[in-house]
Amino acid sequence: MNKKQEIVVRVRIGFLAICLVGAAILARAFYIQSYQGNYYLSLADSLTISKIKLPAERGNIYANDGRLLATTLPIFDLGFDIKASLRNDKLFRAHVDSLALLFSNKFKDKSAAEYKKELWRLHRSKKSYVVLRKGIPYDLQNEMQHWPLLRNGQNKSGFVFDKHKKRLKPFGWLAERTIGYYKENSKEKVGVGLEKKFDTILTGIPGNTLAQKISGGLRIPLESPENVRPQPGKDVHTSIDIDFQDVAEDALNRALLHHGAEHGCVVLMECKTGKIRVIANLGLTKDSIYKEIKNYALAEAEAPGSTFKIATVAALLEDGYANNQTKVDLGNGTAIFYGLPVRDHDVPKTQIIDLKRAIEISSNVAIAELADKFYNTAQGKQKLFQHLESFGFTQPIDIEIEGAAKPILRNYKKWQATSVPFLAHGYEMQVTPLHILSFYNAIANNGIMVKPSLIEKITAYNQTVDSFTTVVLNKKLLSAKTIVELRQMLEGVVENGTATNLKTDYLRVAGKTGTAKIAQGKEGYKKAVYQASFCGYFPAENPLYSMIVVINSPSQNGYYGNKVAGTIFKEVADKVYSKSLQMQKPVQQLIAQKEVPIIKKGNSDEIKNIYAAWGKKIQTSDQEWTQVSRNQTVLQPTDFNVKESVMPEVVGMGLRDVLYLLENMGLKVNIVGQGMVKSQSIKAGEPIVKGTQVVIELS
Amino acid sequence: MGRKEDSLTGHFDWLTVLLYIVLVLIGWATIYSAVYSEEHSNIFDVTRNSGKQFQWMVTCSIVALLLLIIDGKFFSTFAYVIYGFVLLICVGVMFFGVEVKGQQNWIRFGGFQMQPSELAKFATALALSKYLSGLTIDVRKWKDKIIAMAIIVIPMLTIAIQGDAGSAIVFVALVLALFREGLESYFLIIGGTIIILSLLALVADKFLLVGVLLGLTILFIWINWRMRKYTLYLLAFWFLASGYVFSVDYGFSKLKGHQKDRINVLLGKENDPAKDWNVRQSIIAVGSGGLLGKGYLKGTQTKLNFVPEQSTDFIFSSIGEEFGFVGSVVLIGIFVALLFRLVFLAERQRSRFSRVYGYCVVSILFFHLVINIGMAIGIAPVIGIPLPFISYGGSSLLSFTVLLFIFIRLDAQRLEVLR
Repeated sequence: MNKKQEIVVRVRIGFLAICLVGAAILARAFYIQSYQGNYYLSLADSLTISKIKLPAERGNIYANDGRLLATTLPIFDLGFDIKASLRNDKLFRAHVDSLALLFSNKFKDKSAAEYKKELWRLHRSKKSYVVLRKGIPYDLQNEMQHWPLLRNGQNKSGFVFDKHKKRLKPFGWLAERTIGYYKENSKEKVGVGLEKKFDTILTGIPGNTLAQKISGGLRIPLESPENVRPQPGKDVHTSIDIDFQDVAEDALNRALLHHGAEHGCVVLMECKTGKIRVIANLGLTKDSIYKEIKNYALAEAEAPGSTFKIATVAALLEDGYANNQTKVDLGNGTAIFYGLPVRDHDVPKTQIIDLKRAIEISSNVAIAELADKFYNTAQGKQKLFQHLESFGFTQPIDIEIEGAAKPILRNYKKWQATSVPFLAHGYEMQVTPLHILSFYNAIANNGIMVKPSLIEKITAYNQTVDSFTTVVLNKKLLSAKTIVELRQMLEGVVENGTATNLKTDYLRVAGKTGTAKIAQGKEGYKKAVYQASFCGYFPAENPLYSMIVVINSPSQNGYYGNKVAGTIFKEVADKVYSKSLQMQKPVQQLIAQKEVPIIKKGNSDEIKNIYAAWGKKIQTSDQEWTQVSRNQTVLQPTDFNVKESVMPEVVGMGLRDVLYLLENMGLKVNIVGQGMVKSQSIKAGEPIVKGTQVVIELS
Repeated sequence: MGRKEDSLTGHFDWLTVLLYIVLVLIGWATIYSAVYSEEHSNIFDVTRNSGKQFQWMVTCSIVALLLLIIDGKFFSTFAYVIYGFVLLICVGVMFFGVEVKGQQNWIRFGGFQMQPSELAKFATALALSKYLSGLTIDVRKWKDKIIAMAIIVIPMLTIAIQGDAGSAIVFVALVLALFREGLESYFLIIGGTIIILSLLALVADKFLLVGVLLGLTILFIWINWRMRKYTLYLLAFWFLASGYVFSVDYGFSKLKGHQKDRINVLLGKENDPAKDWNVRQSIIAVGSGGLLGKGYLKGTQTKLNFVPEQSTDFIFSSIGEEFGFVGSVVLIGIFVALLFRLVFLAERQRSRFSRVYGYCVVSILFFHLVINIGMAIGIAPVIGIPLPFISYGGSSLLSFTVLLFIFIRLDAQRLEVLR
């Protein structure tokens, strides 16, 4: 082989090598791309990207004034990954002291030394992961994530915040049962109240996103046209008035404690709309405290007792069998019906009274007699039953939340001879407090029966998507004449009947007491267990609200409806009255009754304006401040002179004026108490040094 | 001879320039795709790799133009000076270099940084060409052979000491240029045998291997019984080979952890996802491309940073994923065309300097191509070397541009005096 040939061979070898390697690469590429292509494609999808579900933000539940009743907040658990901590032993050693100190200062439950000991114990322990602290709120977590070790993250220091969501009720146990809950159990979702009923609306629609797996088991979301954003749940606006609810629950709680009762409920309803403003339910728990554990107002059917008499009377009036003046004979306060006695509470002072008076003193005998007289025939039974049916006492209350109890009222065909007289005064049947309230509300609402409702509207992004307008169940439940007479009776109960303790000079209440003996399971009526109730409406002349209070099994300090339930009724009614301008008499009317109060000192223009509103014209000078005194009935304004650098007499002024006046003079004002100024620490007339403190006591 | 300078442009090999431009543009588009996301959809965005690469492309075209203007004689005249200067930088970088990704072999001036090991490639090629173009030099002679080898090994060692074993190995490719110049075949045979033995020693049972080798040796002796004088050589060969087999383990144990892992992964001895992560992801990306690919900008594996270094070392996975087997064939086709063209150009040189240089260019490009694509599809060990003209990175693009355009310039002057 000569040199030239050899070179040609070598060049050819070079070409061949390039071709061979190229072919090898192509063969390999063909193998993995065609032959194994699908395999790797499947591997690629499963390994890298997957769809993950994005839960939607749960909607809020609001009170009728927009305050939050239930919302979802992020909450954190602080975990400790001990293996990671061990890997970075140096880091742990360097910062454990300062972390223990921070823990101790923040939580104040253990000393820094104890925390340090604990952390060291965990760091050395054989466990792999422990939860150090649960339920850290968002703002605290925000602060803590800058602490030493905690800021290094799970991989470095082992400390990690585990975020989850928590449903929070800002008003605690107020209306807790009605707001309810809905959570995932081991097997199923369980819940009650609005949270359950409106779960589908509150939940929203979960979205999904493509997410990429990255090392460390984390996933990061990716932009993709296939991504679906979660739609946040809608908000539920309830009809509950949280201020009234607060007063009601508080009053109920105190009453239950005072009477050692088993449980009780308060429901306040707006007459015209049927919107429920208060629904308070408290029951005795094992820990001997009262909690919202059951929705008694809705779910507990009991013999209503005397409050039910109004239904019987309404039937009698409607059928024309009786009126206000119908005379009834009470005998000696006991009447025997087919072998069973019906007793009044007291031996009557007068034997023959009219029906109105009988209701006022809540005579069982009178109502039983009348009912027995007119309804204890086959036709009569049917008539009475039809009335009770139309009053709504045969069907469960139709309301937005679940759990309404079915009333127990046997069909008239099955009634015994004793049934009618006993039904008449609220026995031999069971209905829920809401049934009674709903009926009374119809009386207050001029015979229009409306559906009780807990919901005002459903909103999404602050736009109303569904509003719950009032549903009229019966446009004319009772005739106008019946209404007038029933109202006279109910007003009479408070005016001069069993509930005179509810009488005030500012708010006229109408209603009916009820003190029912209730059956206790197997023991029946043997053991004296009572249910005290009061159902009524106010203001009597132009009803705006109806309310029922039921206290079950009071065991001490009395058990009568007026005392036990009436007190709560009054307390809530007072609160509602104080907050409802439309119930209060116009100022002019008040002036006629009383003298105009005196505004001792204040801004001249404001004093003038206020008195003008009261219809009194007073003359003030151009001075900024005026003081007013009274000479007999004449108001006498005089100038209230304020000199620079001299302490004025500020007793009698309002806080706003005092702050404005004194702070402008350069004083630092310290306030104690509330009301009008009672005393001042720097005496009037003393010179003022700017920046001095002055203590203003208010009364 | 007596040709006018103004006709110089006519002698540039425009086909090579065209292939170069095509490859660079493919690279740019692929880098854009590899880092593509909807919020950064501007290819010129200089905060993204694609924008930076564009800046480098502009720089490289200026450099390429300059190289085409410079007289070819410059390179042969200053070959040793350039070589010495680059060696100096390579040594200096060990003391004054900047550390990037764990390797302290970067130099920085202004906002600009590059790896001198990239410069060493064309500098060594120039020095080797210069040496071999000496009139009396013959690689068959031991003295010349050793000096030629030394020219290759010195920069190689300097770079290896810096910790960049991948770039150092590239220099081995220059032996191919020596082969063209007449290096005896047995060097290649011995080299090949060592590589094969090393791999076998790591995979197979050593005693079995030695036994098989002994069998082969005896077979050879028996077949070539007439040429008995070689028996001793063959036995000596067997003896050395056996010794080598047993020493491989020791040598292997001296390698760094990640180097061992990469070799083990390649040999299939290691199946730990953490260690062969890069390769697995790359193969998944390439494999998931299938026959036709997922379409431009639609690759998910590479785009989602799944394949590490997806715009530098593993850029082939991006092409494989988005353009499939068809795209791979086209890309490799372009490269093979370029290499063939370069071999053709080298062979038509009259001057030995230009020819050797041409072969150096071919062997360096060839080596990069094989190893880079090979590692992306799992048939070569992962040594972090870029795919010429395609991979993201200023140093690499600049050094390949310089390497190639010096040769284009030399080729344009092939009809002038012999050098």
